[in-house]
Amino acid sequence: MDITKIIDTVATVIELASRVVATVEDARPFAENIVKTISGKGGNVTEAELQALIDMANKLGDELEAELPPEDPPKPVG
Amino acid sequence: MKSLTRFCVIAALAATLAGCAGAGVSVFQGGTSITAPIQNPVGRDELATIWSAYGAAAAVAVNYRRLGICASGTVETLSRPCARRNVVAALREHSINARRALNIATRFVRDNPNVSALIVLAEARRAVAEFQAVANSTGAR
Repeated sequence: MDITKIIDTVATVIELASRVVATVEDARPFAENIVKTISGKGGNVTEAELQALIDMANKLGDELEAELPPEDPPKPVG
Repeated sequence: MKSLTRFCVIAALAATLAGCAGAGVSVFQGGTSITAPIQNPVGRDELATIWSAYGAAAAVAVNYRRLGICASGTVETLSRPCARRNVVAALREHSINARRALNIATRFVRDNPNVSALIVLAEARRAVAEFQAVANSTGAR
């Protein structure tokens, strides 16, 4: 196997793993709140805590709902 | 005679309104009053839970989108991961709908720490009107 292919594959795996970590980091505050609720340790959320959760969720929502870039024109055949 | 009838009608109406406006038991608690308020059973804790559910899902969706949209006519591979355009479009649409509903719910809970059937009915009427407007504008009807 070509050494450059191995390096490419390892780089891709590392990049995917870092994306998984990023996802977990983004989801952590929400997951913590859900875990607290499920375990019965939740409750008495303050207005500031609620607003912080809403702001974080809205930030992600804004990024997710951004307009899609225009589709590439089909490549000419031949 | 006519004035007596009028008096009776007014007296009956006044008595009914007084009954409604009085400290009766809310219909939500097995009573008959539609104006008697009760504490809104949905508060900050419930809002935090539902926003957290949305946020956790959005975090996954955003990180998928950050892969970048696949070029036309290509799909993701292990060595070239990318986000499919149709998947991102669907995630976008559902996120918009979810956030719209969450914002309506949040506004309602914050504006109404106490609720009565009248408030709930008015809100339901407004929600139906909004739904009809959306259905009309999208041609779903």
